Amino acid sequence: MKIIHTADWQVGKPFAGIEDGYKRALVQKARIDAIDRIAEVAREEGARLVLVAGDLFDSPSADKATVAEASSAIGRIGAPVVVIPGNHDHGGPGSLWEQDFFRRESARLAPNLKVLPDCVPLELAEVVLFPCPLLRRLEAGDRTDWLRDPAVFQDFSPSKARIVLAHGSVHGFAGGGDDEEVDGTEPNRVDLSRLPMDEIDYVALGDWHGAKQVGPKAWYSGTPESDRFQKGEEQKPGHILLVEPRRGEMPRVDMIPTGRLRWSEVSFDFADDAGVAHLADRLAELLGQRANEDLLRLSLTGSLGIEASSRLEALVDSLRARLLRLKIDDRTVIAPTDREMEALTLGTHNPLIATVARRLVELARSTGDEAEIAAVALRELHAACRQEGGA
Amino acid sequence: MKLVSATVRNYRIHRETRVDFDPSLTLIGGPNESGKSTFIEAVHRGLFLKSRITGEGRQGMVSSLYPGHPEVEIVFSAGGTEYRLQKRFSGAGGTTTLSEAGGASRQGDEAEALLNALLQVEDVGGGRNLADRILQQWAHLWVWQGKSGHDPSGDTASEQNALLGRLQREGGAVALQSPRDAEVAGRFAERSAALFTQAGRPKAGSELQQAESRLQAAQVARQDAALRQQRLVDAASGFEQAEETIRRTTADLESLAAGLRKVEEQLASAQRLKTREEQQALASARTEERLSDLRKADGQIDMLRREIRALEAALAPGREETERARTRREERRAQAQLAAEAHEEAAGEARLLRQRCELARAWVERFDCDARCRELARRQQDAQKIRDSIRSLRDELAPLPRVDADSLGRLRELQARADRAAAALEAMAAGIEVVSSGRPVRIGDREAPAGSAHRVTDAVDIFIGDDVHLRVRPGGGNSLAEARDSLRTAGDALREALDPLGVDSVARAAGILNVRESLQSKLEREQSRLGDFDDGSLEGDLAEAREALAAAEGEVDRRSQRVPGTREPLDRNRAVAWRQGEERALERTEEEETVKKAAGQAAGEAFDAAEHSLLRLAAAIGAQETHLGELEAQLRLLLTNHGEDDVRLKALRTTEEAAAAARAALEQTRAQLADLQPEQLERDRSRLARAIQTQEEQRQKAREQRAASRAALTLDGSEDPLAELTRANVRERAARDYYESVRRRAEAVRLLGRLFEEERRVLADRFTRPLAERISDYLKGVLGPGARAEVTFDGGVFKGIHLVRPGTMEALAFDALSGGTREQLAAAVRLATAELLAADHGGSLPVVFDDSFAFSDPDRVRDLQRMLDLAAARGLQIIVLTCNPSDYAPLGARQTLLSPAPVESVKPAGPEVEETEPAGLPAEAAAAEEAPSAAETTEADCDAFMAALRGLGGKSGNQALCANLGWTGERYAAARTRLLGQGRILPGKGRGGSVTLPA
Repeated sequence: MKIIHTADWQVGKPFAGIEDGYKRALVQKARIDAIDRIAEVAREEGARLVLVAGDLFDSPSADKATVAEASSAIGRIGAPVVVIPGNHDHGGPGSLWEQDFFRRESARLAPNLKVLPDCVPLELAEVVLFPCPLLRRLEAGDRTDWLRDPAVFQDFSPSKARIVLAHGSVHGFAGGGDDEEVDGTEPNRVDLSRLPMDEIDYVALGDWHGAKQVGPKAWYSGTPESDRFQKGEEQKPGHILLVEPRRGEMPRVDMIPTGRLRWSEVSFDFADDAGVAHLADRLAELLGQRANEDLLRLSLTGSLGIEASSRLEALVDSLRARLLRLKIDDRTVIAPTDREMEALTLGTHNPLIATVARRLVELARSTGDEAEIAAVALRELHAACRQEGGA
Repeated sequence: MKLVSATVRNYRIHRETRVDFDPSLTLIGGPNESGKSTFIEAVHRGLFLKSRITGEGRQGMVSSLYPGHPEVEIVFSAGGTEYRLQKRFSGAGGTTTLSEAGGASRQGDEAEALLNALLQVEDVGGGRNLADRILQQWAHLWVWQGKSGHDPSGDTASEQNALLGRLQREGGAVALQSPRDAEVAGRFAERSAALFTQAGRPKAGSELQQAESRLQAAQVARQDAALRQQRLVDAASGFEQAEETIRRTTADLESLAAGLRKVEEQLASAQRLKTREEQQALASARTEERLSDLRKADGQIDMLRREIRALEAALAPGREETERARTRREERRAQAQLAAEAHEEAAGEARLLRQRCELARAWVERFDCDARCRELARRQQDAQKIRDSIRSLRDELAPLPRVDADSLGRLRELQARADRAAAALEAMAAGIEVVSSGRPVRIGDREAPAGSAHRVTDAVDIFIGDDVHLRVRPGGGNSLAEARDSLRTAGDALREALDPLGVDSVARAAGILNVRESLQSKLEREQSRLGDFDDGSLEGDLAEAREALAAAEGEVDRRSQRVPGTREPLDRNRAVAWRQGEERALERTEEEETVKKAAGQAAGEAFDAAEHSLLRLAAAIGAQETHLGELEAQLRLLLTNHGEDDVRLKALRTTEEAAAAARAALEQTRAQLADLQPEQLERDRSRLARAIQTQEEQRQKAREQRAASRAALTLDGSEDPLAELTRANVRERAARDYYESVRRRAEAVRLLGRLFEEERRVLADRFTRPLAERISDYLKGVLGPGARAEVTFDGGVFKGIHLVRPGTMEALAFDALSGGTREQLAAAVRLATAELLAADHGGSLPVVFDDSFAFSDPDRVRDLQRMLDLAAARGLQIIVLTCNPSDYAPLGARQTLLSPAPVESVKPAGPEVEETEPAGLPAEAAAAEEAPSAAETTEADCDAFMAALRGLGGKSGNQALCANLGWTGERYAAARTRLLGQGRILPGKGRGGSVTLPA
């Protein structure tokens, strides 16, 4: 039997950092599209069960529109979709899963959806599921601890594969948050070493956004559509896992890409003012002719002349327009070039400007807020002079 | 440029006044109202006012004294050339002529244009208020009367550029800001001003302020979102806590309830034990009581028995003696009995004899009584016979009238009297005797048959037949009547005496009296006889005797019955004999009885003694016997109640065993009860109940908390608080970034503004130094060597001037100085400015001071003259107007004195006068432009006012005085106000008001 193991859909993620409403809607919509691609894969591969190992929703209090949209997409999968609450959409009192509107919407739009809010085995036709749902954002203990007793597995058919559904961090890995986490992400621990692995045929894990095997039978599927800038090379976001578990055997696992959005990260250090052009070339290479498909984190360091920094600003503005999101960390220092300084300070015909410019340069050499303000002032002065000169 | 001369014609009070100016120092003197100010004003207008001016501006120049249009002619040198300027202010047709000495002459606009160029002033154009506007021309050179104390730094406006140019040239190496500098600095100053308030706060509506507001709004929104999210989190944690509390309290409640149940069971068994204990205690007590009763009864029985035994032993001798006494008493009783019987017998015999004796006596009595009765009865019969006789006598006597001797005597007398009366009457009476009559005769009413004789003593009618009626009147006169009355009276008295006696005549009465006396004597004899037989007691005696007989017979009958067997005696004698025999027998028997009675009495006394002895003995042991009886009764009762000894013993044994068993059972129960510790159990129960209540309250509270939390946790899906929070966080961050960037930019602009300002000030300071140095030069002359001036030059304009006195560092603002110092400083500024500007005018410019040092005392004025002299030495043309020329004697100036104008006005007439005076007060209209303010009236005016008032006799109407002085209304009012204030004049009355000198 083939099943699809996926997790961390995080439908309804606000992407509040994207100011532009349209771009934000595109990024949000991409998460629904990913569900549709899962439906596609399920049909193509004949998967008869979809397991979502937590964080289907981004929030334990997702709103009705989000629930409706997700339910509709889940309904389109057709095959049974079994879900456990993760840290983002944890169960417990007042959680989404208990709300009347959720029950109504999901019952109407996704009759194939089954939520497992308790640590109670669910025996299906061909497999037995052992859910380890999270009831709060941060569980104090390991939610898989109820499975440490081999007796739990005794009562089930010896022919049915046993699949554990859990959400959290196995030793050595943390899912990691992003800039939209409301509070710091501390891992919910999942200790695989203490599970009776002979009794278990597959552990479907969620929380880690990249697909990753963390044990002979334990996998993180990662998120089907990446939702943040990558943290390391080893991550493989934007995948789902096609799994064939068999009782008493090693599962067969295939990684199938589903992600569409391109989350990139570029760091650049300006050695001189020509760096602006070099950066532009590099980004052109990265982004090609695309628009509204990429999300970019740009880290800039080094120093630029006044004019070059203005050019950089123009470049950034154009990037902002093209990209779904540009997250920029600009630590560039503005240092007027000699020529700029000369133009500002040495001219005898504008003695006041020259004196002021000299004092600003001096101030900009210091540190802190005053220096930054002085740098901005230099640029303003420069711009004013250019404007006056050009006028 | 220097003024050479000026001539003013038909200008207000000037008909024609000419002044020649010294190239350096000119003093124009003259008293008040001599027209100094008017003159110098005319010169100023000549230089700067277009000749074609019309309206009020022109009107102010027209003279009310002299006909003709106002004219000003000025000769001045400029650029080494001398010019003659002529202006005729004749309204729209005014003319201007500017002639170059020995050269061309220009007219009209051309002349005006050249004039402006020579004077280096801008054309101020025309239009309204021109006369006011031209006051700005050369304002720094022209010190108008009353304006000397004003800050002159603003007066350079019209010469700003020239002054700046001069200063720049003077500064030499100093680089003045370039236009670019100015533009850029101005731009940042503007932007800074647009961004920040004076206080340095972001300006309302500025981008910075908006960014700040946005940031604050975002912070508030984020806090709100966080609060909402926190509420959810709190609710969830509240829910869990509540759940946990419910779980815990439920578990606790179960164990508490179990504990309580156990305690209650123990308490119940304790209660049962207690009940049992009570019952057992009761039973035991009862058994003990019974045992004690039994023992007590045994003891009592024993004791009684002992007592009874002792008592019986004590009683034994008494009882024997008593027994003996009783025997004796019985013997005595028998003896007494016998004696009594013997006595009784004798007594009976005597009694019988006594009865017989009595019977015999009764018989005797009876016989006696019978005899007496007979006697008495016989006497009774005799008495009755007498009584019968008496009665018949009385019956004879009774019907007889009761005539006695007395009444008969009285009757006889009365009879005698009547007889005498009748005799008398008879003597007088007529006698009628019917001797015969054929006819019936009636005398009176009686028939008088013939023959009847009648005596008439009274008038009587005699009817004979039917036809004879006679009346006979006996007697004569009254005597007959008296006789008749007397007869009648006597007859009446006799009849009255006879009637009660019932007799009809005295004779009869006499007869009756005889009868009565005979009967009466018989009756008395019979009664006396009766008295012999019966004294009245006979009847009673007889009855008594009969009763005695009856009693005696009864006695006989009664006694006969008691004594049967007796025989009735036949007569008294026999009866007496019987009685005597019986009496003798009785006497013997009575003696015998007396003997037996004595024997009987002796026996009785012996018995009584024995009886007494017995009673005494019995009494002696009686109490003990009674006590013994009681004891025995008690003993019997006890034995009845408690049974006989064997029964009792058995009962005692049984009871002793039962008591021991009950005690043992009770002890056991008590031990069990003590083991249970009921007090402890009671405390346990209340403690557990309290704990249960506490836990239940906690659980109830937790349930409420859970319900509340659940309600708070229930969402309707309209929004996602967490997503909202995420968004709000990001928005806040964005707003902060934006704010920071805006703030930095704004701060940068402010920094730029500040730096530009600072640098410009540095430049300005350097720039204004030549001016400040020149001012200081002038000040040193009056304030001492250390005096210094600071000129504030900002934004291309002079903004103020400060004075630093010698020996101090403090820069005093102009307005903070005293009036005199202000005048000095102002003069120094003007002179320094003029000196700088003069460089563009061939090194010289005229500077006019019109009574400029009103606040300066003569010493100061002398100091000022130093300043003026220095200015003149540096090339300026100084023109001073004063009403005290002597004050300026040391100046060494060229003097011109003006005289006051004639007072009379000439009629403005002539065709050249194009504009008539407007209605109203001509003086006011004319003085409108030069009138000093009320505060600025001069002492000279005041003196003039006083002199005029004195000239008018010390009292005048306001209008008259004003006309006399020839002043404007304002000038007059100003002087008047001041004088009133000083008390030098007093306000008076009258239409329009008046003033007087004080008395």
